[in-house]
This record gives sequence, structure tokens and C-alpha cells, in this order.
Amino acid sequence: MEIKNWLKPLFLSDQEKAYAKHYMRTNNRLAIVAALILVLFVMGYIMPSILIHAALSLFGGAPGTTNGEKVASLFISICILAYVLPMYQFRFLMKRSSSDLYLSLPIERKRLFYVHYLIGLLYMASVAVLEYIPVAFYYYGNRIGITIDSTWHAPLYGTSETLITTLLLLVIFLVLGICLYTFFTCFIVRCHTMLDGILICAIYTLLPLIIFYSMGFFLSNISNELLYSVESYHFSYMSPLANILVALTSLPWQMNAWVRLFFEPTITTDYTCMLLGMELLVWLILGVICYRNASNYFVHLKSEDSEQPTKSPLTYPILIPLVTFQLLLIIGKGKLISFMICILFVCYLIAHFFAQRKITIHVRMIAIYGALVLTSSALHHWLVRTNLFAMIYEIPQGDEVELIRLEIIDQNLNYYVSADITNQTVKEDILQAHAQWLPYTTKEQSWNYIQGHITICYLLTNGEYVNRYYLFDEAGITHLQTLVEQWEKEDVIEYLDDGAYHPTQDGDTADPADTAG
Amino acid sequence: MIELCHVYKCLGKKQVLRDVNMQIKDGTIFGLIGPNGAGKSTLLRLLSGIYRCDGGKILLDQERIFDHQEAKKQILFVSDEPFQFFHASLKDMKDFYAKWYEIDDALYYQYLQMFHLDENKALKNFSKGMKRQAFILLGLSASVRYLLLDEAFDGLDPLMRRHFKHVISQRIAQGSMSVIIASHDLKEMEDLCDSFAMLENGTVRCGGDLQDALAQVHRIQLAFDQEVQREWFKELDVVTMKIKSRVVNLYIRGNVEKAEAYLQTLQPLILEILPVNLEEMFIQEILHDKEEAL
Repeated sequence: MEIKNWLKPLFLSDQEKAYAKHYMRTNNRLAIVAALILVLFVMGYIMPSILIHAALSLFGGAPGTTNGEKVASLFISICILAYVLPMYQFRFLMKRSSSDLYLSLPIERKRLFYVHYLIGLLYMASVAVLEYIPVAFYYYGNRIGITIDSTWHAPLYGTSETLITTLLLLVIFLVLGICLYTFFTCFIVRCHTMLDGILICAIYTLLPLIIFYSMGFFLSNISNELLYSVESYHFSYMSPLANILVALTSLPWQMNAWVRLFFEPTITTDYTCMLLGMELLVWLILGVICYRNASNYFVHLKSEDSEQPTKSPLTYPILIPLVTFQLLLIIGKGKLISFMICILFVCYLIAHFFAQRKITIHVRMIAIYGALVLTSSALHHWLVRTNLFAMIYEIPQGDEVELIRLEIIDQNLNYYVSADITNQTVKEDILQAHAQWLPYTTKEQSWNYIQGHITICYLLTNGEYVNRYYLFDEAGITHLQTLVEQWEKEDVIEYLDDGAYHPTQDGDTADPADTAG
Repeated sequence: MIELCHVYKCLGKKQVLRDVNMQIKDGTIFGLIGPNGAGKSTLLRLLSGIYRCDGGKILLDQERIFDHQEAKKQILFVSDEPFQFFHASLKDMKDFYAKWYEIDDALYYQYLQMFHLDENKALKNFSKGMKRQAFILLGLSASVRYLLLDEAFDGLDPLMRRHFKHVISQRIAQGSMSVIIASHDLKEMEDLCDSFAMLENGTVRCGGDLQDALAQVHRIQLAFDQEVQREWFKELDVVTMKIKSRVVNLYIRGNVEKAEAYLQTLQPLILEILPVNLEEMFIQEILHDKEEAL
């Protein structure tokens, strides 16, 4: 009986049901959106690789393609619906006359919110299920080697396992979609105009990406300042953290990883599974928090604010400084820093003018910007002084290195080495040599004379990669040549590239096939 | 009965209503009058539970209205800019309202015939006046205790106004509905309303039973054989006074017999007491404030 009472709010009353039915029947435009999404789905079906690769190249994540990625369009459709539906369902808040009508109706605000939320959710689920049917057909047929194009009755020969797999995938995508829909709803109810709604949701969509990449640039700048290596990509030392960040924020990564988990379980690691579980949990928690927050906000919202500039703290007031701060981190400590700070200040002011819908400068705006500039600079100095909390080091420990991939190019002497080293003694030699060549390196990339460079990649025992790239000036090249000749004499290098030129024992260049050990 | 106790409301930084107290009895036509920006529409939105008051309380039969389903079921608000759905006809809107309120179909079709409105025509093709007719018609067809009409006569031609006044009076006579109207059209309001409240700068300037209120204000024309002095009328509760040489026009409050007796002692050549209508009362009350401010 108690459970029944607890569940009661989830069900609609007769009056609410009647209203929901009427709403769905009279909102034909929803059907148009569905048709558009179905068109998109078909397009996604035709060119799934293009879509998924574009998304992956933007967001990072697991490389390579799988057949499972063909369901990308299903996931993308769900994401688009999650973005569009809250705006459609709560658009009445953004116009005074419609807000008057809806909020004067004899229904508690909490219930009105729930009914509109639920209609959107049901709509998203229906479209997803409609799109799922061809996906299921595809896999059902594909598992036994018959493509959907060859015979319409291919699904009849599928196995129940494939059906369950695709069905489970649909459920997971839907859960993620619902969480995303709730997330956007939370911001839409705070927006007083449709334009603000579209912008705020778009910024929140891109925010994880902006944060991820600005932090990437910021930490890379620090790495470059601290390391001899140029173009250091800090994530090579921070990959667990970076991967978690990608997993929690990047929807394409999640989609790709889930598909792999279901369709190519052999290449899915425990680490990925752990991340997926964590990410699903994070989105579920976020969904619950956003629902409660949106519902409470809706109950207390001031309808007189509709058509007015959006002022909720979770919208422009937090987003403008946050995005500005991220951009300040990207600027780093370049030569044009003063100019860039000025340009950014102008953008910051324009954003505020837009948010306020009037051109007024408050002292607070300037003070906040000043504080952001100082904070970003202070953070940079602090992290440099602490060596990024001692997380940055030039050379990994010998016992954590599994393989070394070495590439040496001295264009001055037409010198080219490309090799994989697994031998323990040589690995130690190289680690020692790595420390020795550091004083000969330069960070100045010169276009006037030809430089030499070494790219060294350590594959660590935990499966992570550490990449270092060093430039050598003319003085350094001699040192480099000595090193390589010594390795050549010891015959310890396994050449990878048949076309590479490298010194023979006599010092001449020869075909690698003759000398590879 | 609807009661407003010490109601305050701010819109943005502007204090729109301050310490508003009033009672709206059942079975009456209540008029909300006041100059532009006095807070009439805000008050109607508070009464219909769209806005929440910042201070004080609004009660319907001792229950708060805001976010209270049962209370709101008894109130239907027709705003000055009624919202219609995309491509919706009057029938569509009726269907929508019917999900929330009990609509009397017989009355609806009777009114439809009376006002010659096509229920299947898209409302966006209606003129402003026709759209207003359509929504008032919907409101009158609903079985609610309180019908709130914002700028009810805006855009209606004189004939239609007469029709509506007749229909509203008829609906009240049936005894099941009270109508609260906010309007600038004081002539129509005077014909229609039983009671009223005059809002000015967010407060209730005056109010109560309309006829009683009108009986309390008097216009007196006086002519003297000498220049008129303002000091002569200090004894009276003067709302406004206009002196032109030896002729004076007075708007006074209070007992007219006493005032007349006093004025006779000033030995005027002419003393004429004229009836005051709502529009005159409104203008004089507003002018009084302005004169005081000056």
C-alpha cells in the first residue's frame, strides 16, 4: 500500500491524461520534427562513418570503427531530441500570453511540469523505438552475414541474442537520452526567451568540450614550459584522469564505447567497462538532480519574467565568466597576451550586453574580469612552480616501460631511423641516453637551417603511451649521430620502415633490409 | 468570497502593488479601475494564481489561490492578450479549456449564435474585437465561480459592448458566477458593476459599492457676486475645486445636505448640485492627488 502511494505521483490523473492526449493530438509540429529526425536517421544510416568520425575527431575517444557504429544515428537522434524537446515542451514559459494561460490552469505547477516533461519523454522514447526497428533488423540480419540490402527477410534468420543485445543498447541510449533531456529541461525552465533557451543549452552542450580542451591547452602549455620536449601532450602522463574526463563529458565517446561493449566485447577492456558504468551513474545522478531542481524551479518561477532577459544564476551569470576563464587559460603566456586579454574583454562585455539586452557597464563586470585574469595567471604560476603537483616528469621510470619506439631524423645527413626496442638492456641504455641528450635539445623551431629531431614513444606497462619530441640544433646533431652509430654497432635496433635510410657499420647509408637485426 | 489582505507585488524593481486590501463578494460584478500602470492587470494575475504575491495573502474561501488546484478550478482568467495555439480555432480552444473547466455546451452554442462567430475558423484570422468576443464567450460558457476579464471592452464596438453587458448581467443573475473586470472604459463599468476598487500607484484609492461611492461624491456649481476666495470652502471635504472669477465648481465628499447648508451661509447667487458619474469621480480623484502633490 505504501509503495502504491509512493508510485502515485508517477501516474497521471484522468484530467491530466485527457490533457496529455489532447496536447499530443493538437501538436502536429512534433510529428514534423519526428519526420525530420527520421530523415536524419536515414542519412545517418547512409553515411554513419562520416558522422561518427567527425564526432570522434572532435571529442576524442576510442579510435577505429566498428559495425556497431552504424547505430550512431540512433544515438545522435536521441541527443537531438533531448536538445529540442525541452524547448518545445516548455516554450509556453517564454511568451507572456501563453505563460498566463498555462499557469492560470487549475493544476498544481509541479504536476503541470511533470505532465509536460512526461509528454516530451514519451515522445523521445517513441521516436527512438521507431528508429530502433531498422537497427534491430540490420543487426539481426548482419550477424549471419546477410546484409539488410540483400534480402528483406534476413531478420528472420537472426538469433535472439542479437535482438537482446540491440534492445539493451536501445535502453541504455534511451536512459542517457532521458538524462540529457532532463539536463536541458533544467536550464530551459530558467530561460525567459527562446533565443536564450537555444543559446544556453548549446553552451551547456559545448561546455564540457570547452573545459576539456581549454584544460588540455592550459596543461600542455605548462608541460611545454617544464619539459625539454616540444609539443608535449600532457595527457600522455595523465591519461587516466583525461580518459575519465572524456568519458564523463563526451557523449560520442560513450556511444562508441557502449556499442563496442555490446558488439565487440573482446576488444573492450575492464577499464572501459568501469568508465562506462561510472559515466552512466554520473548521468543518472545528474538526471535526478536536474529533475528535482527543474521541478522546484518551475513551482517557484515568476511568470512575470517571461520575455525578459534571462537572469537565473545558472545561465548567463555563471556561463559568461566560466567560458571567459576557459578562454583565458587557452591564451596562456604567449607574446600577444595583453592584446588577447583586451580582445577577450571586449567579447566578455559583448556577451554581457547580449545577456542584459542593454549596453551598460557595471563595475562588477570589470572586477570579475580582472579577477578571472588574475586567477588564471596565478593558477598558471602555481602549477608551474609545483611541477603540476609533481605529475610531470621528462623520462619515465625504467621498470614501467614495456616498449620504446624511436624515430630519429637528421635531415642534414639524410639520416633516418625508425625502430621498436624491447630488449631490457637497450631500453635502459636509451633511458640513460634520453637524459644525456636533453642538454643538446632546442625549443626554437628554425626554418633557416635543417634541424634533427627525435620522437620517442614509451609504451608503459599500464598500457599508456608517453610521447616526447625533441629538436636538435647543429651542435646537437653530432651528439645524436654518435648515439645512433653506437646503437648501430651494437646491432640492437629493429628497423620498422623498409624505406628508411640509416648508417651501416661502415658509416654509409644502406637499405634497412640488409642491416635490420 | 475572495479576500486580499495586505498584498504586495513587485515587477522587477518596480513596486506595482502595495498594501492592497479588498473583498470581492460572490454574485457581483466587480470593477477594477485606475490609470495606466496602476496595477489592475497585475492584480488580476495575482487573483488567478499566475503571479505569487511578495507579501500578504489572497484567499478564496479562506484557501490560498496560488498553486492551489481546487481554488484555481473556480477561477478563469481571460487576459488582455489571450493566447491561442498555432492555427487553433475557437473549437480547439474550447476543447482545450474543456480539459480543465466544465464548459456548458448549451450556453457556448447559444453565445456562438448570438455573436455570429464561426467556431471552426482559425482564431488568427479573427479581428482583434472578434478574438476578444471569442475568449469572453468561452469564459462565460465555463462553469466557474469567478471570471476575470482584463480590458474586457477593448476592441469591441458599441453594439457588441451592449450585447456583452447584457450577457454578463444575465450570467450573474443566474447566481453562479462573479465577474471581475479591469477596464479603462468607465462608462461601461458604471453601467455594469455593482462594486469597484480604484487603484492608483499600486494602492486602493477608493472602493466598495459603486452606488454608495457615487452617492458620497457631489459636484456643486456656485456663482457669487464677488471674487471667490479659496478659504471659504475649508470647512468642506473638497476633492477638487475650480475657481473662475465669481464662479466655482466643487467636487466634495460627504453629506450633501450639510455641505449645502454650509454653502447657503456664503450667500451664493446660484447653488446647483449635480449628479456625479464614475468617470467624473475617477478624474476628480486622480486630479485631487495631483493637486495635492503640486
